[in-house]
Amino acid sequence: MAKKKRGLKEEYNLLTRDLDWEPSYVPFEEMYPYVSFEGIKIHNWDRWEDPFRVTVENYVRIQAEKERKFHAIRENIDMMQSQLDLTDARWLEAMKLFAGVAFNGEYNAHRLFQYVSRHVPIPAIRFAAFTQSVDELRHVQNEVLLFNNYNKYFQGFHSWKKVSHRHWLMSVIKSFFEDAMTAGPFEGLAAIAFGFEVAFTNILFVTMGSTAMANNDLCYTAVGFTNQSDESRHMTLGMMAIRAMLEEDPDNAPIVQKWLDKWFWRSYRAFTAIAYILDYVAPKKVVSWKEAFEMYIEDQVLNGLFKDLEMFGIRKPLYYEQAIIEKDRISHQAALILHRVSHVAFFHTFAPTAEDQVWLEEKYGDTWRDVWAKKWEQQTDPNYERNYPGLPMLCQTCQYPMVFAEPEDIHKTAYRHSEYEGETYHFCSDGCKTIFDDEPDKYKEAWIPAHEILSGNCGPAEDLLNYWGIDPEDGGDYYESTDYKNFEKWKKMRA
Amino acid sequence: MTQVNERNRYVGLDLTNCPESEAILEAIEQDNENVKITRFPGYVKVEAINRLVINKESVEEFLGDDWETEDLQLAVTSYYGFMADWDDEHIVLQWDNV
Repeated sequence: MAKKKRGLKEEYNLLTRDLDWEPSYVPFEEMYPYVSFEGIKIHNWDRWEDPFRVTVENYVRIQAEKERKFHAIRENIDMMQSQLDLTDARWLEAMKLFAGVAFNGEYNAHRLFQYVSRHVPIPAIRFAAFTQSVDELRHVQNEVLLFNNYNKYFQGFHSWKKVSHRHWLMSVIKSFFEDAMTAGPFEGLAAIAFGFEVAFTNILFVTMGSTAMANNDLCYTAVGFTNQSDESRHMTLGMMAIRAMLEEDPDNAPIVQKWLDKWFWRSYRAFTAIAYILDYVAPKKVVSWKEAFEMYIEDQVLNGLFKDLEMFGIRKPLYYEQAIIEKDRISHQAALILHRVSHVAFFHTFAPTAEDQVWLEEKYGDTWRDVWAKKWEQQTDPNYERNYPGLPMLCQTCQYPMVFAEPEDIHKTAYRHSEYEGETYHFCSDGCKTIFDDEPDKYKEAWIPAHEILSGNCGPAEDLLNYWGIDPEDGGDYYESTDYKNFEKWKKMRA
Repeated sequence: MTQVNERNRYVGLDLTNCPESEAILEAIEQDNENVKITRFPGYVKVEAINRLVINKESVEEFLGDDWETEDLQLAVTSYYGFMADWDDEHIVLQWDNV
């Protein structure tokens, strides 16, 4: 390749950052109407640079190369019947959950970054947010296209749109992104670019991508790695945004701290489903939730990144100690509740097999033996009612079922509540209660599925499965499912 | 030489499995001290204490081909530390508060 005339930095400054202009026909405040209400003070909009030095030219070239690699794999998957190479079709129960959570999540991220790109007047951030909004659209399109292959052979992939918009469990992730989208542009940026991307998406795309590969799932491996290759750019946007806000004015620190507190906890809770996938659903397991949390959250974020932010008067996010305590717990709590609601789920659940239990004991030691193994014994006792009657009680903030334990007492379920305007609101944790108490007028409006069903907003009760976009056979026990039987049959036919 | 103890903070990159990643790994090992490499299915984690440099010249030497620093984007799936510098010749990842 011929040597470019201009260096990367000069090229970036000329073709990206410096193309920004000062408005002359309208006042600055009119062009950027949301710039001041959150209280963030920026003095020098232009001095920030994107370390990735993304220009339209190199963005298009690099993304085209990623797409070329991705579609080559995608075509192969279909042609080679790769779905039969899976270690076990049980892995696909994770992919059903992923489809419900991520397709719409990525699309909402696309919308959010359009909003950030339009309303944050820092040129470097506007352009990075613009490319991210295009990335997110690429992700959702690739995911929908690729998972179409699973839909030809397996249950639970047929109505991702209805599921992600309407299914009661999906209100967790829907409310998460809608919360960010209805915040101001700086908070939206801090929420998704920092709280979500920098801290947690590693576990979703790198750890889970690696687990998918260990289970011979070429689909998710292809999606995971192509998506995550954009993610490192997105992380840079998050870090740049936080540094810009903190370095521009010391008055920004308390505002940013509040957002880091809130979005660390929101993102952490939203990721409970991933803990379940790593520890339970994966037939062949690579890294436990506990190990992934230690690697990506404790080492890299809490002990790595937050130490750098100390210089600006930022401390570790509120209740991070509770997240550390819970690393022994949340995958089991999620698995148990999902096992109890599989009659109203769009994926199959199962109790851990003997093989799963050996691994869980190895990874979780005493807490497994003393607590979780005993809970599973009770849950699988033939005299015990497996299914939960109706829908479980949900937290007003994160909308997860209220299954998390007291930080200091693993045997006692945590219940928190707040009174507001004569109503009582319930929360799963101190983190979720604190978020509500800080903005009660926002969170009192939360669309809580059980309440909406009872208010008649989801059609007649007997038609709920249809409203959610699921067939009765999509749920139930994996080892009694058509998916399991078919997969066993097809593997034999192929052998 | 930096003393290795548990108080050290690492910076690092997750690289997806591909020929370019292997050349980048070799370049990092050559140009940095105390490099730690951990392999996982599909990707490899490479870490160094507080600061990590990738030199274009070294990557090209190990790859036996031209390589632009912006092509790191095709191999890197994640990283931690701040991107302190990124130009045509090198990429520097570091923590500032050390």
